[in-house]
Order: sequence, then structure tokens, then C-alpha cells
Amino acid sequence: MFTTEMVSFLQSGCALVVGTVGEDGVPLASRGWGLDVDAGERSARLLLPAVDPALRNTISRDSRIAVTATNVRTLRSVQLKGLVRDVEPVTEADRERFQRYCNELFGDIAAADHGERVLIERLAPGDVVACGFTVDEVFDQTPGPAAGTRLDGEDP
Amino acid sequence: MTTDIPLRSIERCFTGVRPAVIATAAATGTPNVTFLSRVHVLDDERVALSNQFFSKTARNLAENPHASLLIIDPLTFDEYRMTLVFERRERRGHVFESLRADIDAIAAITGMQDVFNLRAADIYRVVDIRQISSNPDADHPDAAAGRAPDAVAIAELSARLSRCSELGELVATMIDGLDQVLGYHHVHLLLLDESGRRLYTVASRGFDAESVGAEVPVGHGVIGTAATRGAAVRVGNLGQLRKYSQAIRQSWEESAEPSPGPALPMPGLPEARSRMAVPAMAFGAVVGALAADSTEDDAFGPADEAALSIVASLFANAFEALRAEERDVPPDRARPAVGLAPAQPAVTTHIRHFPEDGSTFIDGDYLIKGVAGRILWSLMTQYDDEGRVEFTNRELRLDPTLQLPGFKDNLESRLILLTRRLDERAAPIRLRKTGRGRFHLDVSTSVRLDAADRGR
Repeated sequence: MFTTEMVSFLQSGCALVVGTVGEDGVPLASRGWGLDVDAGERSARLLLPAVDPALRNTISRDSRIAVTATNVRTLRSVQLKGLVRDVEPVTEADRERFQRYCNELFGDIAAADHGERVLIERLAPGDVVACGFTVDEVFDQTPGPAAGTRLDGEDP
Repeated sequence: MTTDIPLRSIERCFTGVRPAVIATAAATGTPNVTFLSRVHVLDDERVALSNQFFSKTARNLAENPHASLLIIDPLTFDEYRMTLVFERRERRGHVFESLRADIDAIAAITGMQDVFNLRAADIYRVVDIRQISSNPDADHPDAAAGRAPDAVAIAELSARLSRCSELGELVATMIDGLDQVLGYHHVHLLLLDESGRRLYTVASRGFDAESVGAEVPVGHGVIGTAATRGAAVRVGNLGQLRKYSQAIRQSWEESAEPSPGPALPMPGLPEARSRMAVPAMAFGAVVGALAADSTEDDAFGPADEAALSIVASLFANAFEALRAEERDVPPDRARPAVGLAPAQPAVTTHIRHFPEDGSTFIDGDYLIKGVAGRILWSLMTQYDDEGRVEFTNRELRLDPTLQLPGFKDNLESRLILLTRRLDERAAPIRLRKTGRGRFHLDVSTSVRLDAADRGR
């Protein structure tokens, strides 16, 4: 399902956007703040804002989640879809990943899209939590004719 | 709408400088999340999204009309989450045409007219807008103040233009005024050619490369699109558009489908992030266009558009009036004077001319082509054969070698272009106006003329 290159891409400073759905069927868009992929287990650990009541209301065990990772320089995009396993406090390793991720993402945005770093950093949440989820489907989401193509070898 | 944040109060979020994010959900409850380039505000409660490649998003909306949108203020990086309900999909009408014009402009800018194709305009009702808590440790910045020219500056340039009594002076005053009075430091002034299919740059300011003489096909890019529509075009997210079109182009190449064709180079600053062009119109017709570039995102607003439109209109009307005056010089005033060429120093300038397209080179360097190139060749031939240095527009207009169209020949505009091009290149040959419809040829070296034939 995941090549080494794909894992490297997903764990880089890509912009991470997240789709979840409440019990009422209403979707919610949010941002992710770091992703760690376990290729063997077909699972991932996503860092989410700790203070976002609307987001927390849409995430529980077995709720569905979509995460799109986009390189802000090239717009190459990959979307993962799966089920939430758990939401838990972050570890020290998660905090390091959060810092590393922010540095890389904000550096890319400043270089590719301009903007003062100090302003871009306003986007970052004050604290994060960790959301574990299974990865059931992987899609190419890069703008163009191939958008929506499955990348995990499964039939759509 | 259950929110205290009016749509209009966050309009900077809708310029496309920072991509938005949309999440939808299928009937099964599976979400889909993707970036989108721009959200259009329709009224106080509705937004429209252009439906081009949103295949999954469109399918989801057919099953579940709810959507969630993230937008960012490009100046402050404040982020908002909008809750939307899909209302309808339009494939014709005012909103569709407005979005299609926007898509067409983007396609023209990126040279991908065959790729960008608006399928529909999706209309959503906004039911909620909430600001997402940002980093509490970060300071809130002040939004940048508007920098558009005020009425005083516009009046000053208007006064300067109204004092111009001949075309060359008008062009010089306009380009100086755009820079010094209105504060647009990267500008092009273009005129429509005889065919009505191309715009050529008659003057520019603030560009490293020589741009006088550079051409833009009507209908291409921001400038060509403004001329086609007869309306201003303002793009504040050129950086995002470049990335977006590049990603699509690469995806197309990798998919082995027919490629959308080579990317067209965009005239102007290579690193421009904002570009605005307005048509210069007089008597109901497009005479030319004005274009301004900036290296800042979303640099131009409605006030800039209005200011540039006013001065473009003033320029176009003055230009047409002066051009008509110069064309109508009575024959006695236009009688050619045959001046003798003074003795020239030993330095020789080599002028090479290609009759096929009028392209003309000075000492191996390209100077100009088309009608302006043929004018120079005609003048230099007469100079070389007869020693003539005094000329009139009227006799040039009768010269069959110039291949001027019988109607609306643009001769005066081409003379200005040639004059400015020679000045810009510090050429040893210059044109100097000596009166209405008359000019003098200054040649500071010996010359050697060479009519080339590309076929050989």
C-alpha cells in the first residue's frame, strides 16, 4: 500500500487537511499538524489541534476520517481515508514531530507562497492531540486528470 | 446565517491568494477533503465554487448537501471555518458566466484554454462562519492599509495629459505619470495593432528586460483578456495560479493524455504575484491597454482598478484626438523638406532588414519588426540614396513598401514605437519630431544597408 517514497512524502512538511463527519452527517474541515505512517500496519498517527470543540465532536472510535497531504511547492497531493482508532494525549516524540513539521511546513509556505514567517506561524495551534486511524484507501489528489485515482491497487 | 461575522468583512479571504479547503461527505458518511483555488462571494449569504475537477466533491453533494470550508486571511493568517449547504448547480446565467470569465482568464494566463473548462457553478448558502482559534502566543498583525492612488493624484496626471500636444509627449507623460504620480512602478502601455489581433508595447517602466515592442495576442493573458472583454482584469494570486497550472500540466503529461500545449510565457515581471490590466478605450473601441505588475500578493484592489481605468480612458481619448490631428495635417504644412545629411565619422553601423516580416537588426542586434521595421528601412534607404533627413507622416503613409492597411493604419503609433525603441537602445539612428506630422532623422555614424532574404 505504501512505498518508502510515499511514507517519506506523507511524513514531510506537506500541508495536512482533514475531513471528518459528525453524527448528523455534516462534514467538518480541519488542519492536521504532523503525520506518522506505519506502512506495515496500514495505520497512521495524526496530530490535531487540542482545542477545537467542533473537531472533537466529530472524532470518536470508528468514526470516518480523510486526510489530504499536499506539498505546498508542487501541489502533489495524496488522500488517505480510514477509521479513527483512538484520540489520546501526545507523547514527547509527538511534540518533537509537531515542531519539526511546523518548521518544515512554514518554511515551505514562506518560500513558495511568500508571507512573513511570524504571521504564518499564527496558523499553528497552541497544543495538539494524537489521533490514530487505520488507512483503508489511498488516492491521488494532485490537481489534474488523475485526481481521484486509487494508489493502493484496489478497485474504486 | 447564525454568525456574527459578515461575509463582506472577510473578503480578503476570497482573493485566492491562500487556497481554501473543502470537506464533503458521501451518504455512507465517508468524508472527502481537498484544496480549492478560490471561493466567490455572491451576496451576504451565498458563495459560489467553480466546478472543474471536483468529481468526488460533486458526487458527495448529490448525496449530502452539507460542506465545510476553511479560508485564510492572506494578510493576517486568521483562519475561518464556514458551514455551507449546497443549494443548486448552475450551468448558465449570470453567476455561471461570471465564474467562467474568471476561469477563462486563468486559462488565458496559463496558456491552458483547452484544459480549464468550467462544468458548473455550485451555489452554497452560508449557515455559519467561525474564526478558528489560532496560536494564543502569536501577536495579531495590523492589516495593511490600501495604497491606491487618491483623487488628487488622478487629477494631477489628468492635468499633465491634458497639456500634451503631440503623441510622443502623451505617451511619455502617461508612462512617467503612472510611475511617479500614481505610484505604479512596473507598468506597460500597449496599443492595438492594425489587425486588431495583437497589442504591442509602446512604452514601459520598471522592467529589467527591454520590453518596448513586445507583443501580446488579444485574448491571451491578463492584458489580452482585458482587451477582449473591454473590461479590467485583476489577478492577485499569480503565484498560486502558476503552481496550480504547473501541477495540472505535469499530471497531464504523466497521464499520457494529449498535452495542453507548451506554457505561454507571461509578459511582465517574471516573479509577479499580482497583475492588473485595463483596456484603454475611446469612441467605443479599444485603443490599447494599461497593465501594472507587483511582486506582492493581492496588491491591487477595486480602487486601483478604478484609478487605472480613469487614466486609461483619458489617455485613449487624448491619443485618438491627437492621432486624428496628426493625420489631417494640411499638405502645405506637410511638404517634405529635403535636408542634407552631414558628413559622417568613420564608424559604420550595419542595418540588416528582412522584407519578409520587416524585422530589422542594428549591428547584429534585433531592433524591431513589422510596420515599424519597414518604416526604419524606408527612411534609411532614402537617407542612403538621397541623403534625406527630413520626412513627413503624409509621405510615409503613401509609401507602398510599408504595407500599411488602407484604413486605420496606426502609422503615428508605429512611429512612436520606433522612436522609443531607438532611444531605448541608444541607437546611432534617432527620430526627432520637428512639427506636427514632420520629423527629422538623426544619424551619427556611417551606415551600411543590407536587405536579407531568409530563404537563402
